[in-house]
Amino acid sequence: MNDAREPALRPAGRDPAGEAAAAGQAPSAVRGYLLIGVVLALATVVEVQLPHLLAGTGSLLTAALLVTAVCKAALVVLFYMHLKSDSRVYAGIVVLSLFLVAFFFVLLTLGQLAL
Amino acid sequence: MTHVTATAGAAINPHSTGVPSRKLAVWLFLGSEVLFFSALMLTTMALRLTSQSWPAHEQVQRVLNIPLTALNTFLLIVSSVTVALALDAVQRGRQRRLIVFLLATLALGTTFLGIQAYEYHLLWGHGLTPTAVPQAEMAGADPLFASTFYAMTGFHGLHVLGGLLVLLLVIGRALGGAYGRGSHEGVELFGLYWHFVDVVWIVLFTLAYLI
Repeated sequence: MNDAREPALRPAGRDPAGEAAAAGQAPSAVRGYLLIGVVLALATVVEVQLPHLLAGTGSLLTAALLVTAVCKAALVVLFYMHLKSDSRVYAGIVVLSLFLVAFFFVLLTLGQLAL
Repeated sequence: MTHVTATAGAAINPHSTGVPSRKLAVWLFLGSEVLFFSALMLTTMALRLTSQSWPAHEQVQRVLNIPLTALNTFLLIVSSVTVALALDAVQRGRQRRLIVFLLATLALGTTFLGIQAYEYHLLWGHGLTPTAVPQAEMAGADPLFASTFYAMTGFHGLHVLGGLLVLLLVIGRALGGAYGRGSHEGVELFGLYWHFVDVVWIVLFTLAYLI
């Protein structure tokens, strides 16, 4: 592997825009990461309050909690793990894994019904 | 051996998939981890649905410290942010920021484990052990609740610990100047694993503590 090493300390007088261009990176990546982080934190606050807000609603509470968890997980996978912008090979691996999980879930459910 | 660098930080070896081999390997590993944690969670669900004496939600709320665990969830989310910012920093050639954000991730991850260890200490003292439930709050409840709780959260904790050990290696290499604008695959691959650990906890927190 081409392991080009750079000095541990950058020289003064950097050109952030130029660096961003050289790195092929959109300049707003940091803002995006921070925004996602804020959304995740707020979603966690809401999630913790849901059992109090939807107390006694049974399935509705369960569905709301699951949807919130899935949305949070999706944000991390799509944006922090860059699945949205990266090769579809990786997305294929994720889809295959989730398909296998769903397959075993169905088997488990059918097994429970058969008992 | 020569390599063709198609994207910053990741050398692509000539092979059929067209993606960096190490990154592909990490994603395949994460795929297997999805199956591993799903097995734990689905087993817990199955046991819960078939049990005649699974503790009620109110009983669980009295035993588990939801606010403390919510704080822990927040810490892990913030650590995902710092890992993402670390990768952004190295992609821009900002070494100091890379090291700062990696150290922040280490601190947050260590705090997460510390809080989890403290939680285990409290729960154990309360009577919730891997084979028993506290009789005061969960009299007659299925002890499998405790077993599955410790199995899920314990395995996740071990994954966090493993991640922190790898992070120490990454920090060591970063301090040695191993990563730069054109060579930061190690940071990216660690980031993938750490974000996955966060994703697992997001789901686990909901299933084990809130539902």
